[in-house]
Amino acid sequence: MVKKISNSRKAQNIKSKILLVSFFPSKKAQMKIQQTAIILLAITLLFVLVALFFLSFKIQNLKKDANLASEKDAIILSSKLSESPEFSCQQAFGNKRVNCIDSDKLMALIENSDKYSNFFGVSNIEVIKIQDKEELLTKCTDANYPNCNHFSVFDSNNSGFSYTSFVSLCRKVNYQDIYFYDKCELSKLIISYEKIS
Amino acid sequence: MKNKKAQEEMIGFALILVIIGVIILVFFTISIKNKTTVEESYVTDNFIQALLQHSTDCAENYETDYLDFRRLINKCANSGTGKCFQSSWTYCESLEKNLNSTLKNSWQISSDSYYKAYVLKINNKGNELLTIYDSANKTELTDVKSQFNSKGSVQNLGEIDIYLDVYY
Repeated sequence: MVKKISNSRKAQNIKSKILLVSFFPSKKAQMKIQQTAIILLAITLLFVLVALFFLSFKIQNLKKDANLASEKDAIILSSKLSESPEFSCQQAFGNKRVNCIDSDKLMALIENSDKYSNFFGVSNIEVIKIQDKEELLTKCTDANYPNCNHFSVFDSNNSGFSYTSFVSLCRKVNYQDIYFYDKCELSKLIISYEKIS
Repeated sequence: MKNKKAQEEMIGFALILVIIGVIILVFFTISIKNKTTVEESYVTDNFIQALLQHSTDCAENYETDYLDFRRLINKCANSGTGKCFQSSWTYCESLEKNLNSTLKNSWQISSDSYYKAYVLKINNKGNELLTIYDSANKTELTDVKSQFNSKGSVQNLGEIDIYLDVYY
């Protein structure tokens, strides 16, 4: 019986010693553990930083690429439209011009817009002359042309998004009923699409 | 023995620090380089093309013989002292006046708008012929360059180069 008690005491002693060592290791071991922990933390931080840099760099490039692609889309689309026979200046103003819209053709198109409603696959085509900021927008009609600055082919208001590009809007100007001369004005071509619901 | 081990550990730690420094430096230089370069732009390219066809108020031989920007730039480069028909403006003065107003009306420059500044530079045979600059709140070009991103393009007309950069 006495032997049993002394054995259990011994076991208890050993147990408490083990617990003591595991909870309070020697100073040297503590230092080693701290050192490893700090290095691990530093390396993790480094990787997180590198990943963050890389991500921000990638996102920045992605945004630039997206902007460039949408710019390219707008220019291609407007070039396609401005080069079509319904709009283009062709040889009427001397040499073949690029990004040139004949405003007389545009007026003819506005008058017959109902016949072209599904032809271009867009909801509206607008051309706005670039003039002084103070000048108000005046919609072009048969009555006020060419003393106007806003051409709207289809009077659609249900436009979801639009592409804008620069074009040259040219016309023949009658000089005192003697002759005609060419006048080209820098303008904005706005192509609108309907919102898909 | 103990000392040598400690030395080795110190060298290892220093090496890690150096590697971290180099990586951070490389990323910084890449990100800074990226900010100062001018992006290629379809909008500015498209703008220059349309601008060159725009009729100015400067006529050459008779009253209605209005020069477009392409011809006016050539006139200014080749006979700068020549004058517009029935006008006191020389070709170069007229070019500057017309470009100033056209650019001002085309690019909405203000602190609230998307575009913050623009620079249009015309070089003839590598020499500067004309520079037009405008910015929101009259900010200096050097400050604009350091604060904003830019996009631009170059149009070549023989010996004449036209550069347009817009800042946003």
